[in-house]
Amino acid sequence: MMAVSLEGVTKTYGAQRALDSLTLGLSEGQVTGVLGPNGAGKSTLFKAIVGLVRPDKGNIKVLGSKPSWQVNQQVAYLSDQCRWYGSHTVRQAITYAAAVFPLFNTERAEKLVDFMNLDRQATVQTLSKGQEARLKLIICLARDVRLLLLDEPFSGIDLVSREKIIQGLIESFAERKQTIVISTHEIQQAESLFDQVIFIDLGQVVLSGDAETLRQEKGSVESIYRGLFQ
Amino acid sequence: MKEFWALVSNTRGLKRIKKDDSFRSTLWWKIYVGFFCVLAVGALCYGIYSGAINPSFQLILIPLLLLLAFIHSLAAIKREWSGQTASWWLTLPYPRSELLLAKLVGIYIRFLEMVVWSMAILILIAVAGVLLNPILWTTQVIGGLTVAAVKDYLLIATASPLVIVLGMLLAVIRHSRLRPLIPPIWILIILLISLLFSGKAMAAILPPSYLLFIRIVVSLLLSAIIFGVTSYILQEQTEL
Repeated sequence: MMAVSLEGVTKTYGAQRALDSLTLGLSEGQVTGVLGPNGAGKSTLFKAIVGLVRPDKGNIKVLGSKPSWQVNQQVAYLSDQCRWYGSHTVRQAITYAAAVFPLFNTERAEKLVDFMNLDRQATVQTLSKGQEARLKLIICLARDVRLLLLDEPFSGIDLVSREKIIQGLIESFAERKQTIVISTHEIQQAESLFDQVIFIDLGQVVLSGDAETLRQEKGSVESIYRGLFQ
Repeated sequence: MKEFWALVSNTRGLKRIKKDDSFRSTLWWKIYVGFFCVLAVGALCYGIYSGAINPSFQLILIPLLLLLAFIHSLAAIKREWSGQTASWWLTLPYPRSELLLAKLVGIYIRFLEMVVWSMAILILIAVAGVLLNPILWTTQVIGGLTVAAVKDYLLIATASPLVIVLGMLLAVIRHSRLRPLIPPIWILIILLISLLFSGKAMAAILPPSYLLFIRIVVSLLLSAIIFGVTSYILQEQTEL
């Protein structure tokens, strides 16, 4: 059963082709790593799944339907370039998220706030980049949704924050079965999370498969990445 | 409804992110702010006493509220992009028309707050006028001033929904594929406002007794149409 399927999806920005007849499927209940160099089309793929961009050609099915606000009830999306509302405190951010996101689990969010060592009284504006990244991740992980999309969740974040985030992800996976899609350049640290890996370049799938099988056949995911894109 | 009011209250609470505003809590900042407040009140009192600020002068301030409403509505949408929160906002599991409606309500509440503040300031100025310059600020003048102020407030109450949705429309177009249309839309907006709210132009078309009623109906109708167009653009023509 596919949580997300794309058939011949093309998206262009002027002369640049971000997705080029992209066809892929993301299996339900699995953690998929979407890997590729900058400009490969990873972020456009995520945006197309949540309906932030419209493909010029092709079909996208997310949990059996076309991308829409209705489908987004079951999708948590963390953009690679987003910030949280600067005037909120951590507590207000959780309260706001609980009010606007259906299926938001406040209890889990509170546990994650403690686990990620965030001060509830601190305003987002005063948080460091790593602390804000943890808060954004908490808001996504506390949602009991079927599909979780994390675009570069470790980008520009210090080692300690990164380890906290990965630990948070592992604990979240252990608690419930979700379809999780992560794009990252921190392959070495994140590769233990992946069940499935998709390598993308120039808007096309270069290689995909079961992470364990690929490791057995070609070494680590990181070495495959180096072989493909160096 | 819970989510709608959360969105409304978030619109009202959205502030421009400042890189560093810790200086606001320092003593020297408080001293400067206090000094400038005293200076402003002093200048106002002197203006009233010397006759430089006369009763009709303050009526100029009321239409400025419309400009503030326009700027505020433009900023409320723009801030989602400049604050990099647009991806959260646009992927919320609600129709984009609902997201915009929440913005509209939030902006309108803020506008009403500004109206109340402006009324309070006008009353204070009138009281100061009566106390400091009773020759110029007579009861008769204050009465006339009140009638003129009520008319002005009615005018801005009529025009405010239209001005707010126009601000929202421009902000949304700015982040859509229709961005090249902004200059002609500005021209259209200026023409529309000047036609609808210039007394002469409307009086030439309609008898004066109908003016206010017609203005209200046309303004609300246009606001609804423009809101629909803005929702469509945000839904169908806006990408991130």
